[in-house]
Parts: sequence; C-alpha cells; structure tokens
Amino acid sequence: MNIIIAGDGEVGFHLAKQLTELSFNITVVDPHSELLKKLESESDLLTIAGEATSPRILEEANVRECDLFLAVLHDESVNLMACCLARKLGAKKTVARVSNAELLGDRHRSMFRELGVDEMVCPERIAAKEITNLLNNNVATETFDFTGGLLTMYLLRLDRGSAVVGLSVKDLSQTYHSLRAHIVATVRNGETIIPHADFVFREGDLAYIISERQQLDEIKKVVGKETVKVKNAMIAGGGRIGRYAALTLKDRLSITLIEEDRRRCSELSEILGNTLIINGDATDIDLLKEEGLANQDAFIAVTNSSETNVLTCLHAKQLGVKKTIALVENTGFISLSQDIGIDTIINKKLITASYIARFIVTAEAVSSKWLSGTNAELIEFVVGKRSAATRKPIGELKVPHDATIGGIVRDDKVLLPSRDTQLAAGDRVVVFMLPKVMAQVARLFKGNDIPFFSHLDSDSL
Amino acid sequence: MNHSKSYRLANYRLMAFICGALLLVLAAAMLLPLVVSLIVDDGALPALLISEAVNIVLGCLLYFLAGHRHDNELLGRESFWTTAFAWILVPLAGAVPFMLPPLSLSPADAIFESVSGFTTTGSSVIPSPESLPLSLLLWRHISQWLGGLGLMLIIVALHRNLRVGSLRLYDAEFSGTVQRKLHPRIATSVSYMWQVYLILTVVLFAGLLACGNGLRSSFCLALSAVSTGGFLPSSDALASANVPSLVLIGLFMWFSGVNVALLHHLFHGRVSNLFRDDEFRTYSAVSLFAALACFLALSFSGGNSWHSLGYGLFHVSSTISTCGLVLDNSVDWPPLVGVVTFLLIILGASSGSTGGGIKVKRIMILRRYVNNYISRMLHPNVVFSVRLNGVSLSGDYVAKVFAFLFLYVLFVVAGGVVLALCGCDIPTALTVAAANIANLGPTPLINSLSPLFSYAALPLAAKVSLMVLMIAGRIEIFALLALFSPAYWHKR
Repeated sequence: MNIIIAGDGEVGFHLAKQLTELSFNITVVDPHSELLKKLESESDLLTIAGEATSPRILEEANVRECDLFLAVLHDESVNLMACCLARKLGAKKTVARVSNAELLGDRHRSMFRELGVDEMVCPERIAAKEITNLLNNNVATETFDFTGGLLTMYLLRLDRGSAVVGLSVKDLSQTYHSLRAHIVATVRNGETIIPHADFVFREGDLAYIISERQQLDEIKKVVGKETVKVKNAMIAGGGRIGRYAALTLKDRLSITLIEEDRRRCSELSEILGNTLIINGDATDIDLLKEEGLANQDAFIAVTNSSETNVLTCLHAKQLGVKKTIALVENTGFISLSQDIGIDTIINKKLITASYIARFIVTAEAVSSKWLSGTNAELIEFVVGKRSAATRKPIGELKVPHDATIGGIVRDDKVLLPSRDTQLAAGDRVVVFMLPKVMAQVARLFKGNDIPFFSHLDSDSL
Repeated sequence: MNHSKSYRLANYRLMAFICGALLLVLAAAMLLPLVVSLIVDDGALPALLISEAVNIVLGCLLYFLAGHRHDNELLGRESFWTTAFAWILVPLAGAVPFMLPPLSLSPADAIFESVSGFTTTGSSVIPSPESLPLSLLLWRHISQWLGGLGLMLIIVALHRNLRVGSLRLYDAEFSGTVQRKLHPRIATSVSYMWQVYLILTVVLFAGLLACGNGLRSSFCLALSAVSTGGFLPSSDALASANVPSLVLIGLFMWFSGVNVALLHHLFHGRVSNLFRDDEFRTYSAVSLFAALACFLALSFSGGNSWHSLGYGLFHVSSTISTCGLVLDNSVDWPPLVGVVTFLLIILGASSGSTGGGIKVKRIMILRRYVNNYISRMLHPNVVFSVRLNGVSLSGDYVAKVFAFLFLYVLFVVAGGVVLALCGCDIPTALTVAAANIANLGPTPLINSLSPLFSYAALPLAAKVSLMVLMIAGRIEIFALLALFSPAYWHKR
C-alpha cells in the first residue's frame, strides 16, 4: 500500500518510521531537507523536500497511485488544503490533522468528504481524552483498548509492598492461577524486558499487563494498587490540551487551571463555567502552593514547555499529589521522566501516530499502540487465512524472542494464550514486540486475504 | 535479555552473510559456462567444476554458518566495509577458473583478468581471446555483466529484509550521487534498475542475432556493451562486424552510459523526464560535440567522410560510456582525436549508470561551483547556491564532490607513477592509469601512444596497482578508503 505523509517535523517522521516497519511504501513530503536526509538514512522510504500544498510536489510523490494521504502539519488549513489537492490528484483516501475540534463532528463530515478530506484527527483532543481516561481509572499509568474494548493494556508501576515484587513469572502464575491477565513486558531502568519463566519482578518495575476490563479489580488486588478517588485537579497550561481536558473534566471534578497569558485566561473563562482560572506562571511554585497544590488529588502539566511540565510534576509529587500527568513532547525525555516518578507521560506524537494507525488497517494489523517510555509496540493482528500461525500451537510457532503474544480474542471471547493454544483464522491477537522483529511477526499472521481500510467511528474520539 | 547494545566493532555475521550470498550468486552464474563446457567439451570442465565447488562450499559456509539474518542492521562503516570486501572477494573467487588448467594463468594474471571483468574495465592479459575455451570466454563476459550494475545491487535486490542497510550499501557503491529513488522501497527501486539492465541486454542480444552475427559473438558483445565492460570475444569481432551491428552496439553502449533511473522513465514512456535532466542533456551535448570534433579531424586528415563519421560516433560512444570496445587498433590518429579521447576518459559516463569515470554530474557541479565562486570575487556579498535539475545542493554535497575529485586525481597520479617506474613513458602511464580507474580499459589511445604496450608484459607491481585502480574506480574510491583508513577501525 502506498502512503504519502505530509508533515513538518516529528509527528510525520514518527508515523513514517513506524509505518515503514509495517511494510508499507512510504513517501514523506516535508519542507526541511536536512531533516529528511537523516530520516531517509534511517528508514527505507522516499523523501521529497517541499510544500505539501504544491501540486507539482504532490505529483512528484506519485499521488496518483497513493492509497492513503496523511497531512499532519501543525497548520490545519495547510492540512485541509493538501488533502483537497491530493484527493483531486488521485489519492484514494485522505486524513488531515486539525486543531479545531469543531470540524470533527458528524455534521460537517459529508461536506469535508466532498472537499476531499475523508477523516480528521485532532491530537490535542485525543490527548485530552487520554488524560480523562487516566483520571477515571487512575491505577494504571497508561491504558489502551484493543479488539473494541475486549482486551485492555494497562501499564502499572510495581510499588514497595506489592505482592508481585520478588516473585518470578512461574511463581506468579502458580500463586494466582485464577488471574486472567498476562504481563507482556516490564521496563526496568529504561530497558524493555519480555519476562520469560524465570524472570523475577522487582520494586519500581513498570509492568505492561494485558487483560479484560473486568479483571482490573483483581489485578489491582494482586499488584497492590489502590484506586485514588480523584475529586479535584489542577491543570497547568491553558493551551488546547488543557482546555479540552478542563472541558471534559469540569462537571465531575473541581478544576483549577493556571495560564500565563491574560487574554487567553479571559477567553477560557468564557467557555469554562465552574472552573477556577488563575492568571499566573506555572513555574512559580509559590503561586501553585497558594492555590492549594498540596490538597489536589491530581496535577496535570500541559504547558508548551516539556521541562516545565516535568519539573512542576515532580514538585507536585513532593507535595503529596497522588496522580501526576505531564505532557512531554521530547521523546527522549519520556523514559527518564517515568524513572524519576512522574505517573504518566502524555506525548502528542505517539498518541497521534497510534491513532492514525487505526486508519491503516490491513488484513493483518488492526490497531497498534506505540508505547511511551519504551521503543516497543503493541499491535493487534487478525490471523490470516492459511497463515503460518494457524498451522501449529503457539508453543511451536517461531515467535521471535523479542515478541510475545499477549491476548487472543475469538468470537468476542477472550482467551489467554498458553503454549497449547491453537490459533485459527479470524482470531484477533495482541502482540507485544520490539520494532526490529515486526516484519517477522507480521509474516506469521499474513494470510491470503486482501488488505482493507477501516472506517473510523466518530464516538471513539 | 539485554537491549542496551553491547559494543561490537562490526556486524561481522551480516557482512559474512552478504559475502556468502554473493558467492552463491556467482556459483549460480557459473552454471552456464559449466553446462556449455559439458556440451562442447572444450577441456575447461575440471577447472569450472573445481571453482564451482569452491564457490559453493565457501558461499554456504559464509551464508549458513556465519550468516545471521535477524540482526539485520548495517551501520555506515559496515556497509563501506562490506562493499569494499565484496569487491575484493568476488573477483578472487571469479579468478579460480583462469588459474587452473587448461588456461593456467599465473595467479596475478588470473586475478587481473577477473578484476577487470567484474569492474567492467575490460583490460586483458590474454592477447587473443579466440584461443580461449568457449566456456571460459563466456565466464569472462558473464563476470562483466554481473559487475555491471554493481555487486551490492545484487544483494539489495535479492535480500529484501535488509531494512536500512540496503540504502547504505547502495550509497556506499554509488557514493551518494544517485538522485531520487524510483520507488519508496529501496529493494523495489533496485529491482526496477535490474529490469532495465536485463531488457537492454536481451534487446541488444536479439538485435545482434537479427543482424546476422553468430550466437557466440552476439551473446558476448551484448554483455560487454550493456555492462560497459569492453572484453571482445575475438580480436576482430568488431572489425569483421557489419554496419547495422556496429550501429546497434554503439547506440546501446551510449545508452548504457545514461543513468539507469532515467532509462526506466524512458521505458515507461516518460520521454520528457529524460530531456529535462541536466546531466542527460550535458552527456548528449558532450557526446555530439566530441563526435563532431573526431569526424572533422579525421576527415581533414584525409579519411573517407562516411567512415570518419561512423568511426567518430562509435569511438566517442565507446569512450564516454567507459565501455572500451575498440573498433580498430591500428589507426593513425590526428592529435585532436587523441586529446578528445583523453578528455572523455577523464569525464566518464553519467552518474547512476554502469559506466565509470569522474561522472558528468560531478563535473557539472564543480563547474557551477567555480562559476559561482568567480562571481563572488566580483560581488563579495553575493549569495549563491549550486543547482542541479532545479534543486540546490548543500555545501556538504559540493564538498564531497571536491573530495572525490581530489582523490580521483591522486589515484590516477599514483597509478601513473607506479607504471612510469615500471618502464612506461609518462603519457602512456597516465593514460593507462586514467583508463583503468575509469573502468574504460582498452582504448586506441594507448596503442597510438605506445604501440607495443601490453598488460601481460607489465611487472607484478604495475598489475596490482592497476587492480587497485579498477576497484577504486568501480566503487568510487570512498568505500575502498574506508577499508584501509585507521579511523574506521578505531573503537569509539
């Protein structure tokens, strides 16, 4: 499948790299020729330096034979324009990144379709949505639903006193054999480990767990996490993410929002009814204390500066705030920030890329989650007809060492994989893996079915 | 399981895997001469069987034992090493049949012949190719064809899950002069290039057969011309050929000196792409101009004008594409033809073609840069950029071209010095060095300078330095230097 990605920096690059691994033919259009050179030397794709709104550049990118056109620049009007052009020039499907959530509704969908924009994605809104999710079930530091919500991935930190600490994988499955959950990976000191039988869990490990939603209480009991009842929260930064988060949370929690820009504060006050909007600098710790940071259940730092977000979160943690969420745009900071104790890192790039990947459904890969804090990925595959995976039970399949099967859904029922499980065509399989073995894993599930596109339903936003 | 990469000097296993794969390709290619030898019983069967066995055993050893597919990352320096290493190993393996009886060449001669074949140079230590057993003759021409597009391109096309390494190998072999890929996937774009190469070869072969040439000479000449090699199947193969065959060969040689990517566009009916390309236009203009100069010079010195025209065109086509098929060695040349020939040897073919030399593209970049530089002397605050095909080139890129030019001249001079010390006169020494690093090989210019020159008579030192020049020219110097540069061997 031929995909053109029009971007202006990291979101596009990140998407391009990940999609290349999934054996798509990727062409990247971006105005920064120096950055493109680096990208091209790292991944097997084609790059074209230029503006995405230039028909000549689009033709050079072979838009006529393009199956999917993704416009993920920062400027939404450029994205919309690029999508319109690409569609008229022959792209089969177009997706634009927008920043104005007003465009997303169903009301204007057909109008945008006519213009040539098939789908729209708003990263800020997805990030806000993710924040709300995390506050709702605040045990996990990261969650993601697979197979339409039947399987969920939770990321939990193993704290002191957790029953799991000190147990090996083998012990764990013997002691808690009724637990229907699978620890697919742990991150220790920034290193991703796929735990095999003799692996012993330690305090401070981050565990990626795949399970059903109903099992969450059980998992909580085993891991020793208690749900924090979040009643109030402080949001630092009144940008788009902060605004969307406040909008969705304001009716259930009492929100304090700190924003530096006075004009923006008055704009916010017009849309956010029962929210306390404070005009001030989020780096001013005295101000935060004065506004009752120590009494907050959650602190959400979503200013434009990743450094400010990390530092203020650390401060909040020190003052006893139970749940801290920081927006970190620099991917290099993510694992470091998790190591020093911030509960959850939000990264717009990763979120957007994971989200857009849902559009690119092939017969094999259905949805995927690019995890923050590790370079690994969780990908949901559909087992193809007559694929290699259907021939032998899981224990005998040649699953690479750097990959593990986390969960299986067959006819809307969840199966936990064991060595004897026999996969059948049509099963949905969630696999945790490092990117370098992705092609190998994809080959296992590749059948002789034809790839298809998914359709995004608007309530998943 | 540990993911913090433990330090390694190089991914030796993957390098071994690639070399093993190449040896197996070689073994497969050697099947044709083997079968021919079996049929015509030309006495070379034992030699071919032994070398086939060597290739298969060594290839399997490297491929299956050392080879490891899963860690398929190739870093920058490893790709340089692999390229240089493969270009040394493969000609060595290809030389085995020449060393064994019935030919029994000395190791140096056999390796020289093989290096000359794989690098598509065409310099030969065998005075009369017609005396060769048919199967060995075929092997000589097949080696040219395999080396024509580049050994790394064989690997890139065959080994599709090499991921990022592919582009690095491709770059190492082409020194990054190639323009945009034909397809987002490197393996696919390389297979397009092989398609073009194969089509050119088959069409020329069929054309030569249709012009009434024998199976043997059609096959050999087609391989020589399209790979811009230059070996002849017999000393008088061209002198005795009819005019339509010569026109056909001349045309295909010339097109083989054009960027393969452009030919791909041409085959898909995008003719305008061809004429929009700056390098193609310059290549065409230089060819026409040089042919005109040769024609005029030969006519004024009393030649038949039709003959002069034909000779001029064929000679220029053979020289600029760095093919080196020699029409007639016993020409009494006017000086202008010699000068034009020497300049064409230095210039070379287009980038991304099977030909060698400095390449038209680099000369264009240098000329534009120098032009801009002169205008800076007049207007100290001028802002300029070097543009090619409407795209401005970065300073780094231009600097790399300058570095290449310096190294190229250095290699020619060094090779010339060795040859001169071995007893050649200085003009001959420099011409031979330039012709071999350009992978041109035989040219009437050498004979017109010193009629008695022969590669077979050169001492060992001269042969070795010519082999180095041929390989250096083929992989555009940088990759070879990487193998011998201490900086690449240091742990960081």
